[in-house]
Amino acid sequence: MSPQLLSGASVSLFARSKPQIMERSDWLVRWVCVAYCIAALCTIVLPVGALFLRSLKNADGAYVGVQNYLTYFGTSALFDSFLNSLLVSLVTAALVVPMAFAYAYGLLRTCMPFKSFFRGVALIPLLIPGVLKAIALVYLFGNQGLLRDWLFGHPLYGPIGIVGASVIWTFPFAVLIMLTALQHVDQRLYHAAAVLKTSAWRTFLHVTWPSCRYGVTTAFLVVTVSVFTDFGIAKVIGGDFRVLATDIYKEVVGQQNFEMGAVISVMLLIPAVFVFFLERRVASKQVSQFTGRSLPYTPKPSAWRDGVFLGWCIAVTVFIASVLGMAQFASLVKFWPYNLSLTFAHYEFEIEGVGWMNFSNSIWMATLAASFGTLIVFIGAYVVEKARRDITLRKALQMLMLLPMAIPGLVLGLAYLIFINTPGNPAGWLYGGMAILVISTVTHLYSVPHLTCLTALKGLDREIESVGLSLNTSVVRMLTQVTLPVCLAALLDVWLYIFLCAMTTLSAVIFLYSSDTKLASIAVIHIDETGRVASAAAMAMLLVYVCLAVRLAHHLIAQKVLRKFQPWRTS
Amino acid sequence: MTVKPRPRNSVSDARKLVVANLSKSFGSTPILKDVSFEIEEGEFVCFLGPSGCGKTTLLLCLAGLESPSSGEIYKNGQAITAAPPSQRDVGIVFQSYALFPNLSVYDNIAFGLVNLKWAKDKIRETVRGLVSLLSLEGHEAKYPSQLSGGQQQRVALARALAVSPSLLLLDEPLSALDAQVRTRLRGEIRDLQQRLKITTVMVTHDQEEAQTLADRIVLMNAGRIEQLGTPWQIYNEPATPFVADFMGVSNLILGVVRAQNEVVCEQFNLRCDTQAHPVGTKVQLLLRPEDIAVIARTNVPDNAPVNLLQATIVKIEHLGAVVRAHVLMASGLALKVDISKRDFDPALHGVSQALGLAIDPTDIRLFAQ
Repeated sequence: MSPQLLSGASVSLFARSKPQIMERSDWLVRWVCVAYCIAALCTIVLPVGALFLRSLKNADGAYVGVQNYLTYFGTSALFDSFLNSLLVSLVTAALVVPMAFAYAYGLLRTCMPFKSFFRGVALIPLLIPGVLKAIALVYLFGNQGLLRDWLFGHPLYGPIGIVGASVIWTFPFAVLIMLTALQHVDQRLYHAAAVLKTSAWRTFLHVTWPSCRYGVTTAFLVVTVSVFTDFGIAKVIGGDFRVLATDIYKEVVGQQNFEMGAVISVMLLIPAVFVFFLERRVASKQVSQFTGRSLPYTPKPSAWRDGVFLGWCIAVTVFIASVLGMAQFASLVKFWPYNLSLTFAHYEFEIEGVGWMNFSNSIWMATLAASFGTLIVFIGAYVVEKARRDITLRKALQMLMLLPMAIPGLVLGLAYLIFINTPGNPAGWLYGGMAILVISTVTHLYSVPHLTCLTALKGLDREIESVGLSLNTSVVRMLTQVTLPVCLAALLDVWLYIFLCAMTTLSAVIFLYSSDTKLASIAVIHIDETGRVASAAAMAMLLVYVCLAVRLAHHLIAQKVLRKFQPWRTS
Repeated sequence: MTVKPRPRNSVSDARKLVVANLSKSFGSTPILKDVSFEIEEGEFVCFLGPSGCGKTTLLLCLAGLESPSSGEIYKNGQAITAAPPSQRDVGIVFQSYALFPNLSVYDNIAFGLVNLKWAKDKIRETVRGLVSLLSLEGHEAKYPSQLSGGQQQRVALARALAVSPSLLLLDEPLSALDAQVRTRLRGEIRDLQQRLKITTVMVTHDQEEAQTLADRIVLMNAGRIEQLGTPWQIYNEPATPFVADFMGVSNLILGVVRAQNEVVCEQFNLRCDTQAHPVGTKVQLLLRPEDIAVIARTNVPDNAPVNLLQATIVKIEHLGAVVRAHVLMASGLALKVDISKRDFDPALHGVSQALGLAIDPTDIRLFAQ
């Protein structure tokens, strides 16, 4: 690049008609921003670029243009799996969104009892690895399942199983989105509608629906893209039903065909990126009707309505409990379904390449990812929020930090595998170690914690920073005395989020482990492949218990820490 | 950034804050257009204007929180345009209080002193002094969320004053408070400023607030200074129709100078001082409602030294100390007329009753159109 070009770029990034007033803290923030941009380049842009380039090469490494894509579209079996993926993800979304809407409506808009209990129940699936949901369904509805007659002879393995497990898996996401959407409505709108003698249906159409339609759209998109890109469930319960994610796995792991794996990855990536931008568009259109002056909605009791929604919430609870209970029971039964006596034998994992070490690997990896991830995410969100002098830089960084949301884990994992094994890559030594698992997991999960931290930081008055500057406060003192204490609760939440996701993550790490760093979630897949499903359930149950314990510990610590360090909140 | 020494001849008095030809635009939108003025030491100046007129941006430029696109700011004879906020020796108070939510009242006030690495007992002494100065006794251990709005704003003031800044900047400090608290705190701010003799700049959109507080008002509109003067000058000698309209209530009428000291407006003539406006030019006349006297219709003398007009009452508003009559003249021109409570007679001043109006020629102000 010519020096002229370089200086031109720096002008557009930093300079204005007159030099900006720069505090020392502004310089610090600027350089940290630049460092984050470089890091994002190395962990997201370059690997995905390498993946894309690989899709244009043949097995000998020569460029063949779109030849691989032509092969792909010419192979009907491969292209069928694209349609299959689309089918199961749309069906799942169409099922989950109304279910979640009804559930969230019951929690927020009725007077049914035990609301906080049901709110907790809806989030339980977050603690269960997706694979375990699939295994539980096998025990419930499979060929030798407890309730196999309920499927009227249709096979569980295939689309029905994938949709069923995916529904349980994505239910909490949809409920969380619907809760947010339904929370924000002004009771006065309902009062106004009532005074104007509006029928219940018209009230729903003109008051309830407009306030939550963007939430419904967002939930639909999030569920669709999650199922579309998921690997674990389809692997365990998909049978002969091919989807994109399992195709990638087969091409890469089974046939060592990285080029075709890269092509299918691009097929997976394009719809995901499209949905990402669509979702951001929807989100930006959501103009909140809920202002500071709004009156929060408080429902009035209505026997039949409360009863109906209570019934629905109980049904969901029973189903989730039976899935979890079935998985636990299956892992303890000697030989399903012939010998139902209980045993811990399945927890001994006498299978080659699998053992308790995988379990400790998982805990170790999740702890590292959560701890480093929280630190990195917070500093990143902090500089994005505070880079008041470098608007372009800040926008670029914000975009880069949301990008992981658009990249499916499997694609990111394969991109890392290809990128890191590129001859001459100085980071090549990372391959097979714990560090690459931590990096890929943190990168994969980056966006949601980033948004959480950003929200917490926005809770502080912008003018607080100005006051700090006028009082000649160093950036470190400002951070430790004011910003960190105020964001403590959010940081604990971020740590928990990364830990829980890292414990159950599969797609982002399936291509990157070595025998020394194999995680429990990967081990579950391998045990399942050997046909010892009870052992797979046992390994997955271990993950569930760790997640449950950490979740409870987080609750207790958060309460204690908040009481000690944030006394102003209790007032 | 280093502070560049500037030639002294550009600044007459070293103890002044001088703003010279300051402009600021965001992208292609100009916010400040060539603004220049001076502030004396110990003076209380208000930036007054409608929202979006650039007054807050101007204040942020003084604080160093915004960089002007062009122009200079001098303090005590030195250019400080490029100096960061920490080197400007200013205290700043925002409308939102911007108190540190996780720190007690005591720690909030002491925050700047800790930055200066003062000794603990010296900090305690200073904070105690400020606490009693701002009547915050007994609240030292509380958190901001436990205080009322007025108390929070007092804490913000104390925090800004603690480091004894040479310039105090107030960004609409009273706007978030309810009416009674606002009036009381307004008086307290003025007392405090007088006692501490601290140069103070306050941004406000409330003309009454500016009039009661300021030594001088900088009245701004669309990025420019419309008029700079004492509250009395701004109200009584407005430089432009905008100033006249913004300060208090006004009747603005269009007219043409017909002869010396005579202006024709629609279908009636008014005698007034037309010195600065040659015959034939179009002018705008300002009539303050309180400058229009109401006279009984029956005893109108024919050739009085004042302008006499006839009108019909269309609406009566009771404002407490005065009654505002909205009247309509035969030509269709609407005027606002204030009747003092003592002169108001319900029997005479009812809707659709006729009214005689008297206007002293010296009370009419003319603006070129």
